[in-house]
Amino acid sequence: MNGNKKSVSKLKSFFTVPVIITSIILAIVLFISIFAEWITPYDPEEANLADSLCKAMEKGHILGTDKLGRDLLSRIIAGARSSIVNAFLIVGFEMIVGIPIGLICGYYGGRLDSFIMRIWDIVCSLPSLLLAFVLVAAFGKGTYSGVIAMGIVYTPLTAKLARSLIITEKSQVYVEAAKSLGYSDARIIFIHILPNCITTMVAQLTLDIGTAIVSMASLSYLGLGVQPPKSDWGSLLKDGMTMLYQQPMLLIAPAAAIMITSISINIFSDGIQAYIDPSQRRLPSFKEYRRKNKDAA
Amino acid sequence: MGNIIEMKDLCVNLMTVRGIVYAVQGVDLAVKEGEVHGIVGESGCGKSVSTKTIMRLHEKDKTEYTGSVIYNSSSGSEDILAMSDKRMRDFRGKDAAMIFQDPMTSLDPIMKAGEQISEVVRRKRGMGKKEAKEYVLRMFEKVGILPPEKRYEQYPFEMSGGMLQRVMIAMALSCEPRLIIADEPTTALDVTIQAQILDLLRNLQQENHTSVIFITHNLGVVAEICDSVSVMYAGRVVESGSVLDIFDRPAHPYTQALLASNPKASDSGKRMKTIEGAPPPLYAKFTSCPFAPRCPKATEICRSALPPVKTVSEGHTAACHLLNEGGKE
Amino acid sequence: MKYLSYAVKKLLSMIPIILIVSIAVFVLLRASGVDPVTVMIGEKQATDELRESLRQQFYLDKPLLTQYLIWLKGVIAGDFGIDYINKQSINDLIISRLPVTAGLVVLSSLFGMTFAIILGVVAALNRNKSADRILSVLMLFLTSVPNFVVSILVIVFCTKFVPGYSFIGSYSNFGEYLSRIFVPSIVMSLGVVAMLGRITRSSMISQLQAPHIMTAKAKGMDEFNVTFKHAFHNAVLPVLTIAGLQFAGSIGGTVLIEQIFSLPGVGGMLVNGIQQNNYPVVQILVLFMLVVYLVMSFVVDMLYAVIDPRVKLK
Repeated sequence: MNGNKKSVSKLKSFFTVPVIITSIILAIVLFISIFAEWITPYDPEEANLADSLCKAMEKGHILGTDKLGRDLLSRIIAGARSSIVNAFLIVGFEMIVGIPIGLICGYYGGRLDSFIMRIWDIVCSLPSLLLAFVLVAAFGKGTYSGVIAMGIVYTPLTAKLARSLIITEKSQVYVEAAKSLGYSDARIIFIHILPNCITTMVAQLTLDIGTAIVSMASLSYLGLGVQPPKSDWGSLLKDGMTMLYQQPMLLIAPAAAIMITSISINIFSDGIQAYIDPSQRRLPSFKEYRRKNKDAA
Repeated sequence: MGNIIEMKDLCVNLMTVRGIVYAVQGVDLAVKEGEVHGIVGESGCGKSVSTKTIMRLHEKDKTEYTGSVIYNSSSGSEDILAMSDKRMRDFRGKDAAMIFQDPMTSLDPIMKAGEQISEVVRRKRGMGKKEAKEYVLRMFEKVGILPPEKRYEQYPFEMSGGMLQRVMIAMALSCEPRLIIADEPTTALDVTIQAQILDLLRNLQQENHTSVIFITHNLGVVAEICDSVSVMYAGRVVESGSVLDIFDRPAHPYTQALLASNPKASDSGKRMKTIEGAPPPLYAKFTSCPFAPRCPKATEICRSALPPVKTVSEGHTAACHLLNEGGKE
Repeated sequence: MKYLSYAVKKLLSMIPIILIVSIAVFVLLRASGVDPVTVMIGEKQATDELRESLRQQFYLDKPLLTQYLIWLKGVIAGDFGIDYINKQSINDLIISRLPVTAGLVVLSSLFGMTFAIILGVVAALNRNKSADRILSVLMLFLTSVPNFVVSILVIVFCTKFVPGYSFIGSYSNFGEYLSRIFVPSIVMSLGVVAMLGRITRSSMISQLQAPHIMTAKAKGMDEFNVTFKHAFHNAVLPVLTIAGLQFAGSIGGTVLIEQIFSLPGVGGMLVNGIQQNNYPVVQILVLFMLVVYLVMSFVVDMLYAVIDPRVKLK
């Protein structure tokens, strides 16, 4: 009974006002990107020169249109789909490749570990954007080479995090206990150790989704990522740049989309971190504490 | 000889992540001029918190004080809790100094050992740079930091724990304070080094007639170095008296249990005695004797009312319901 | 003396990294399957003879290893080659574009460092008070708003509301040069300010709670001395290492900023090189940026060894 009540109040401490607001925003963004085809008011790729450069709310275009008369709102929604999907692909890549490598290196240590870490050090010695450029240059520009390039750039970081987490965990008594019971290494790593590191990793990976959205958008902005006629928020910005004087909405709308999503993800991840590590929470003053406790009583 | 420090009904409340901790709940304590006063108790009993109050070292907005801490000097009596910040700065170092438990972390890691003291005497005693250095070198020699010139230039990470504690002692003595508060100064050190540091402290204390408040949980150390002792439990002083009073005629059941759990050479082969249970958490103020749940002699009254402080004999007091004035149980 | 041998060792250890990366880049670019000759000729018609002569002129008929060695020999001799498209010397191109990029890196590092430390310390000293809360919201905002989006908004703002201010124009004197790169540098430094500011804050807070600060207070030092001589000095050391790496990494960030503000720097050259498959340019610029990055992190390492007595030089 008592324990139940406690876990409810713990969950309550996670859902602070900023976390609630950002979760709602993120849920909306996710919803939009999942159901993009069904909710776009117009075809995002269909040109209609008669409606070229409509202002906002003109001729039924809520955010107006671009030079080719394509509906901006529809393009933002379609862009959300590709920005979000690409971000998940990037993070999925770094998880699938990075986490096992990090766990194995950290768990076994030794030569394999120092060899892989040496490679990582060389990979990380290039500034991350620069590395992405080189990889895109090698794979040829385009959505998938952008995704893979970004995935490769972030993989060493994820692997390093997993490695450092498992190194602290593996000296714990429960790991020794599991070993003495004769469990296989794979079982110990994935069933016993991984769940203990999961919260820290989730906080980091949430943050990485935000970073991935932004990095992919920068690649597309430079014309190295998503290629026309497909678009994501980055390539929308690039298109908007050419119409800077005539139609600033073409810039402001995608910029706002990126900013709102990125800020929400950061606040949300901050919330997870504050939940994991209560020592960072602010202490109430004596006055506030007494007032609150009187209310409770 | 008068009292240099008198705490009167001192309460200290600390704000923590888990709520308010009533760390000190009405402490009365007097330290006589020129004596070594020991404060003994388990960890978390409020011994550190109450003595840090003398230097007002708690974070301002996370601490509440009530009661008073009187400091008597030739220029009269002052309440430390009411001192201005400026007077407090002056008080720290010149009137009272502190030696901390862990010398490894208590010195600035990126400042030369000698300079950490020279900084004090330059500011507090207005010495010039050269004069200060010479003074520090003499201090080093006095407390056994040899060779002084080499040690002056070393950083804390280049020295051993014992050497660092000597630096702390030299630092505490540098302005010739009237009171030194030593907060478990030997706990973090090896046993052989502990004895050296205790000898050094005792010698310096006798040489300068400094008053010392010595906090420890080690009864052996108390017997060796202290003149009088206060025993603390759950944020209050349960018994106070001279070393002889406490060790030979303990009046409070807690003191008795504490002494019984201190292993002696004659006990070899016997099972070690312990006090059942653990000290109570300090999230609330007590309305009954805090030791009652662990006390073998507890009665109804112990569980319903706070025990008053009773005089056992001249200079020997204890807070227990079961005592009659005069010390008869 | 110990610094010198440490420095030499560190510098020597960079050589294998540089070699490995340059080989990797060389091979990766060739692996993309684009024919350099087609890149050189572009849309124009060309005879087979012309193609063959170009192939010979750029050693493309030789095996890959030979091509690499020829290129490497040139680079070591200070000759970066000729680009595929304009057939110009890459040395001249880099030299003409270097001042903008260097200015961006230096200015943004200076701004970033100064603001981050000031804001971080102010936040730490006012921990949990309103100043701290406002700053932490600001920092959160700056971390999450991507640099290039801020740049775009700045451009929109300036074109709308600051008539006569342009990021595009001539660089005939130092004043013009500064005025062109000033705003981009500030924008570039924002992300760094947010990140370093947060680190400074938490580093400063943990230092203010460190036992040695209690000692400093107990020996009667005044607030200013405790805060700055003891707490700040210790707190700033980890910040400096991270700052150094950030600034070294900012050479990569210049690429975006230059592109957005249309600044004639090295970064724009790299992006164009990648888009046009202009390999000699990409190769040398990646190498160049890597070297700048490595040298900057080396300088940070050395500085750190000088300012922190605990760092042992191995």
